[in-house]
Amino acid sequence: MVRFGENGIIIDGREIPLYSGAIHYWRIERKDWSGILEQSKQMGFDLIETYIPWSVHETEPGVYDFGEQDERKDLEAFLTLCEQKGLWVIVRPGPHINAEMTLFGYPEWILADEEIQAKTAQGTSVVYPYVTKQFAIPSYASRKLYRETEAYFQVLQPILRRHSYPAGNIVAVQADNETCYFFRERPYVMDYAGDSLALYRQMLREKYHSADRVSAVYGKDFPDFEHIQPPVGYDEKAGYSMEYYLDWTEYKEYQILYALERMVRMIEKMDLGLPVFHNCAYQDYTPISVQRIERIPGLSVAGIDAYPEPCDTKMLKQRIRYLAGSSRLPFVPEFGSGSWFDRGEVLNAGEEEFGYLYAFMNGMKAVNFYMLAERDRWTGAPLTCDGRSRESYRRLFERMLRMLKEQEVCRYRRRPEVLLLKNYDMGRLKACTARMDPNTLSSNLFIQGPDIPAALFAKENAAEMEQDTCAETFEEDWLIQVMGTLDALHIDYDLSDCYIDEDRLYEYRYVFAASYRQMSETDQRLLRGFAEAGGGRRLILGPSMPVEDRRKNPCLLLDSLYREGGKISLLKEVTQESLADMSFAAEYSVTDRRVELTVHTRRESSGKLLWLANGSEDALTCRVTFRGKRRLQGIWNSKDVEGENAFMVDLEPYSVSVWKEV
Amino acid sequence: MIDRNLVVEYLEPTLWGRLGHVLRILEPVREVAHVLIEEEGYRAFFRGRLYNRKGADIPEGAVGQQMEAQFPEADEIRIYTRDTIAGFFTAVQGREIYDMDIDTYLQFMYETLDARIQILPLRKRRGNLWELLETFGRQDGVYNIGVMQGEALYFQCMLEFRAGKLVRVTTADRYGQDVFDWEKICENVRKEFSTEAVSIMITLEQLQEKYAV
Repeated sequence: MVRFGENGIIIDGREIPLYSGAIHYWRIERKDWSGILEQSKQMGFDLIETYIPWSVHETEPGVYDFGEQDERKDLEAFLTLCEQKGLWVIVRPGPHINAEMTLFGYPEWILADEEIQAKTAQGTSVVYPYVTKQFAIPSYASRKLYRETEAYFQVLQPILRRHSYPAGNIVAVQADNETCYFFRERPYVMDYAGDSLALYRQMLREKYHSADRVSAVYGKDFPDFEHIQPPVGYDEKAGYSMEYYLDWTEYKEYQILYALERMVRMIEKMDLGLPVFHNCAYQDYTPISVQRIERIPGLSVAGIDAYPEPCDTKMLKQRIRYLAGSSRLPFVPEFGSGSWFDRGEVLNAGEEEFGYLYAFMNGMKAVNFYMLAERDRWTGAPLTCDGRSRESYRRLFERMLRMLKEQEVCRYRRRPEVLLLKNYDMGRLKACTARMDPNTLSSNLFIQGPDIPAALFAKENAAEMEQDTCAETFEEDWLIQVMGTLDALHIDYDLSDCYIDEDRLYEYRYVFAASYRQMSETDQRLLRGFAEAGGGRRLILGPSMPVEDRRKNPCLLLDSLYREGGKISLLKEVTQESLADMSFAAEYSVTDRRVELTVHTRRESSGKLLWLANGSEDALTCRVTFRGKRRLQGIWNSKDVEGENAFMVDLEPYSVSVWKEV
Repeated sequence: MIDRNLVVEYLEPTLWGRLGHVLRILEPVREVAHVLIEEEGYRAFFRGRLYNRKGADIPEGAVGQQMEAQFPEADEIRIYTRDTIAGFFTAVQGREIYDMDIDTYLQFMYETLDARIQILPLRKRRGNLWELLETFGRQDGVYNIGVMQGEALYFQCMLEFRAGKLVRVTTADRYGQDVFDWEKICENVRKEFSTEAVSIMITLEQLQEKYAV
């Protein structure tokens, strides 16, 4: 039996670290497969990941090639070879693939089918201008898309079943890929296709049960659900209540959950008996929710992909800490190893090292490096498509995987006392108050279409709802302030939102929750429960105290507790001074603001890892303070150190260093 | 001109990693001021900043003049209404566009924009990159392009055209050696492609002088 654990993947009761690398068998000459797999093993990989693209194997409707015409497409032979080499395999059968393929892995006749295409509010298809060919984005609500996908999955079924553990070496399956409207997540870009509107009304029926009820909430009179037309943009003069627009935003979330649930059911029908996961592209805001995706029955883990820019810290810190605070397993199912050809830059091995180690430092537990071997439209991986080594990249992986495995890094974890809760509803409010959402007509470096900035269409303070002033849907000014203050104080924290499980929430001592005048009763109840739980827990709200629910009815669950005193703090501005009455446990400290520090502890022992990152361009000598005598063994970019109450360490520019307490 | 099955293979990461810089010379970023005319005024967006002017009653014919005065540093000003935006996006997402090559589609998008949206100043759209590719594509063959910085090779790629379409992009990494030696690259290219290969070497400075806008 195989399942995901909290540190990796558990195969017959034995947990192994989930460090895998992507290889595209159909893009590598068959004669080179063996050498590439052998070298992957030598680098330290025990797991290989591959897509199984629909368009590659179904070359014409109903005509399949699994190596009969093109030997590179012999999936069965590839899986057998992986087994012979002792490599576990993760498969990603799509149907969405991307992989820099011209139609993102879909057969041409699928995307050309009007019944399958997503539609704009004007009734046209929604174009994706990929660098080699524009195509029509499919609809996640299209019933025909699922029928066709299921037929493809059933063709794959015998091969995959023969190679699924314990008969073979496949140990996990990914449901779809980056399911989020092909990077066009703004609510009014799509999807107004017939099947999508039917699904929208299904959601409204489940939520409101009767036309009278939805009429009362929307401030309009509908004889039945069929008469409800979705919004195409926020229009304050149309006379609808804000719920009408918020519901459309929620529908876009519902559509993704519906799509993934259908994919999971289709994978279950293949009867592989393997755990299923999903990779979100980059979103941790509407219409994506890692926690809600993980609540889909049969879907174990939702990760988020990461393709950092050189020397990035902001994106990685927020994304990984969000996963650490929200997911069952902080997993990056695609972490850039090399770059797509039309990106414009390729990270060197040093830049990649900084990104990978920085992600581990911030709580990443599991990772699939994308790509391990180069192929059409990809460069900068440790191996070329003909099996040569890119030495600097290869050495990095060899060294890093050896250290991670020898030190059992995945068995350690950060245990911050502080959790920051994003206000998911604020993201929804910002998204749904756009007057319109034109499509994006650019893709990567070469195709720069005439895009129109979303900021032109944003409506501020719609319907007198309090709105955060940060223009981006995914950011909130108050949280940016909190993060800046905590970072300056070197206080570690996780990130999540109000979809967090209650049990998990209660593991933290301090919760900073972004709050505004309006907050749903459910969210208020969750936060009140935390504030009342005692045990030294403290809830810090800001910038405003919620006094109304989302429909602007009075709701004083938090306000009444705040007035009792002692359990809730309200901070309009978050400064170091405003946190002076809070005591944060810190085993190790540094004072240099350019240095970041985290401590990972091992559950089953008192073992600790100390991680320091220098995200600046300067070489630094840094004083680390603590109480008593400490001796640490250097395990990455570091020498052994010891001292009483303090020691000094040298940190190279843009580097992460790790020590182990001995 | 861009073949939908374009193969992009054997890209040497260091040299290919400079692609972004080379393309920025050929196709510099144009700074656009976006202006949306609404009933109650206008909203403009330029250099990451939103300008919200409520109650600004500008006579219809004077909008362009006023925007040029407000955004003198913009390379281009696009003035929209919600209707013209909807019309533009309807036109560029119709069924017929799926038969076009991507480069033709890109050109079609800008032609449609020019026809439907008020743009100041209206000028040449097709950038240097696309014009170069179009010129190369007039004859089948392989173009081996090297860009030098001083004595060192800064960027290199090979473009293969067949029947007027770009079918392959590759670099000297395909030879597994001598990736940074321009003379040897030319020799290897000649060996593989014989007379149909043309090698073109240019310095970064020349590229800048010849193509920078």
